[in-house]
Amino acid sequence: MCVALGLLCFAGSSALGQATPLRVTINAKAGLQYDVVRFEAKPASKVELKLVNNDDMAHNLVLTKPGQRETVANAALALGTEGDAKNWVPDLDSVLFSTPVLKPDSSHVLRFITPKLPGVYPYVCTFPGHGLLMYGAMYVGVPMPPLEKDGNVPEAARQGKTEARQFHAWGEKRPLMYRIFMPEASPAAIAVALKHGQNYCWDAGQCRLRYAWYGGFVDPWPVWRGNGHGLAKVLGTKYWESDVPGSIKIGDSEAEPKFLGYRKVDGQPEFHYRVNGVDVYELITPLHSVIGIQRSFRIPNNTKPVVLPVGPTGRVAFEHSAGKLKDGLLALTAGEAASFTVSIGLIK
Amino acid sequence: MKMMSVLKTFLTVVGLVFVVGLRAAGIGDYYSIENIAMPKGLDAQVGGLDTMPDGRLVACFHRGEVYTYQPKTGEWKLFADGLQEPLGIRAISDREVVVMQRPELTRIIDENGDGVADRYQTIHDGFGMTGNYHEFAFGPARDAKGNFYVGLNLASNGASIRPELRGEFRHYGLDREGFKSKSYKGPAGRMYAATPYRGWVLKISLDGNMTPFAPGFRSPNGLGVDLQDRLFVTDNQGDWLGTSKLFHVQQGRFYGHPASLTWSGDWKKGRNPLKVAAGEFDAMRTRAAVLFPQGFMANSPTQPLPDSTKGRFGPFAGQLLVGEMNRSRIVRVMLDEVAGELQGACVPFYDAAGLTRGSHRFVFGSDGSLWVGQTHLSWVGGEGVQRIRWNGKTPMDVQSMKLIPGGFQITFTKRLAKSTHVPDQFKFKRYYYEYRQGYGSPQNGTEAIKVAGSKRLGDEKTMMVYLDKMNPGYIYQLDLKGVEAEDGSAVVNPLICYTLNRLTNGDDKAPHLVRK
Repeated sequence: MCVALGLLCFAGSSALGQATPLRVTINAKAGLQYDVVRFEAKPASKVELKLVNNDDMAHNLVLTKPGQRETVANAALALGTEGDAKNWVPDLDSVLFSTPVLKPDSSHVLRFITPKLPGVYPYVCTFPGHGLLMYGAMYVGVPMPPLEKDGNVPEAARQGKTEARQFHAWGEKRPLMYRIFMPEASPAAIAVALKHGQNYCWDAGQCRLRYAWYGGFVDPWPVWRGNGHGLAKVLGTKYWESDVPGSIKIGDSEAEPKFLGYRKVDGQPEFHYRVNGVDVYELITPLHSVIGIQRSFRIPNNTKPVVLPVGPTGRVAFEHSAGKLKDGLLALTAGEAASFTVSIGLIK
Repeated sequence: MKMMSVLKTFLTVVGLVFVVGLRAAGIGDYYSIENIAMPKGLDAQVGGLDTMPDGRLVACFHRGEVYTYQPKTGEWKLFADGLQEPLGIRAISDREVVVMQRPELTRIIDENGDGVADRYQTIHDGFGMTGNYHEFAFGPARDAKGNFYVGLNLASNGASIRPELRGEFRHYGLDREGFKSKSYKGPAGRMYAATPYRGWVLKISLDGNMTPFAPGFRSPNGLGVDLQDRLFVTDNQGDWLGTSKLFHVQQGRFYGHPASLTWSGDWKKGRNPLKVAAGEFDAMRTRAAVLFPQGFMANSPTQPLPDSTKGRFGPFAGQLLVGEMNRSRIVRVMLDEVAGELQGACVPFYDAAGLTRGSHRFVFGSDGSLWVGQTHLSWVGGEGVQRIRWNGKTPMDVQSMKLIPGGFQITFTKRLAKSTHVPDQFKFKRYYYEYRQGYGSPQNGTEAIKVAGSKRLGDEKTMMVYLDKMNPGYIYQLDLKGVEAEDGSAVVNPLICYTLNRLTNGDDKAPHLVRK
């Protein structure tokens, strides 16, 4: 259908055959971003748009009619199990052109004729959950406003954050963790960037997950620029924040948890702490098809019942592999708790 | 005309001699320095420096990285990352380091031997944090038994405390709400200890047993153990510190800054040290072994490191070297045991000659060269790593300065010139810094001290110098400008400051240190 529309435009234009197409290359980057968040094109002109996927997860690019970005992204989500077969492109008139879903390190060239009607035509990654952050706009026959005032590009790009500052000798990498002063956490906080633009804050002072966000990681500069005064800034959208205080509870004791460190598993920390004399191991990994994280717990050598505060569970896609959930608390038997997972997904 | 020409030639010769004479007084004639190329993109502010048994250097940096450096190839390799302001590192083996970072003492282990750490094991995190930026955590020094010593900074009233803390909250002037008020600064005190063991040195075993070792510190950036297994800690001029200091730290003693006493079992809960007369603390405290006069010796001393090279780094084997943040300088300390306690003198050791400012952490390589790492944070300093080597020539300097009844015994590294005339060339003065709550102290009681007599010993290197006033509680400053060795070389570092806490008879009464 998109192709048909393109052909229609082509057929209706006379001088197009000779014109050199406008060539645009857009890279999909880590942290759910396109590196080019906007470009200008003339009405009814040829465009060769090359999408290069430099990220470690799948992405596509869908051009929509003006104002239809969110509608299209939400309709893609609703495809559910049919999504993969359709490249996550919904059957809607508001979809103009689209690439297939590109695996990491692949590219695709989309050739099309821009619409005759001047306007701002959004493009968006409709892979589930990505559309919230990963989008841009094609300006057809209308001038672009200053970037910092452009409501058609993501907030991070408006703030000039697309070019991430290099803080280390290794450039950008995920997973990555910082022990650093964080907002809404104790001074012994840990910030972790996982793959797929997933991030979380875990509190080594209280041995518990504090919040999770998607998008960029943190700006450590407020802490690192000088003597450590300041807090790292979360560069993304927080979608879950613990509202049930306290660490995991083992048995009846109200004993304070004791942080014992972590082991790096594929670059991701598996936290180790001790509660009421029992060793607990917690590994947090990204979910794959949707925005979200999975918490994998191991509590070997335990004979006591376990209660894990997991709230809030209402506004996220919360899943647990074992136990009974009530009022933000997950209750497990010692057997269930030996190895279990809970996941927090953005999309309900 | 002829006369003029002769005069000109004469002046030129004099000028040359003068220039040569000046050059000979530089430490750069005796030591060479090399700048080490750092990984590109790294913020090379050094928090800690050590060598591994296999000869690699290991360093931790401001943004949380730990790198190893192979001196043979000049290659840096990332060992660990993600640490929070690490300010000290000790290698345990070729695969393990112990790092002091803001929240804890951590053992970092490369379990699979690929040169990259896999496991970060918390040795001890049982002290408090308010989130105040000034709560740096320093060390670890390690003693012969393998115990670690760390220093916990006080918080600064340049900032308040954060909504969430780690550890118990306790403060003599303010509750937690009070810390939110705009007028928290006064009642907080310039430096405060609102969570446990701020202002303390802790002793921690590798398996995590912690002993609160000694209170009384303000900003104990430098911790080191000397070749006799004695612990030394430097502290920075500020409130209760008239000038910066080097303490010989022993268990259970109090080192002068009272904010830390909040966490001492002997201190009455809620008693406000800001309202206690200085005399009470003066009676409790152990004075610093060495004072670094502010402004010209050291403003912010860093790590004390004993010269463990047995002479491969020059003539000062066994003595302590101490870094200084504010200028291109490493200071040398000459300790003197008097009536059972350590006191002694400080003298610049390495000045300028290519040294970057901000020398923060040190370690000797197995070849006897000194590795130096710099930092600055938001203060004066530098960054990077340098390596200093001795070229085998002996600088003319004071080798040791010891108290004797009525004066000092001063030994030089070389034989003194025959023409040495003590009353003209050994210029003494003395002064003191007050012990008081205020920030720093001016030099007080400054007066020139006359040489009453002198005697040169048969080694031609040692001079006994007798002074007409010797009293405890003063810095005796000696200026040796003009003194030369027998071979004509001038004293490289002619300014020496001896901290006279007590006389050889044990008299340490110094009531003038506390203003009535």
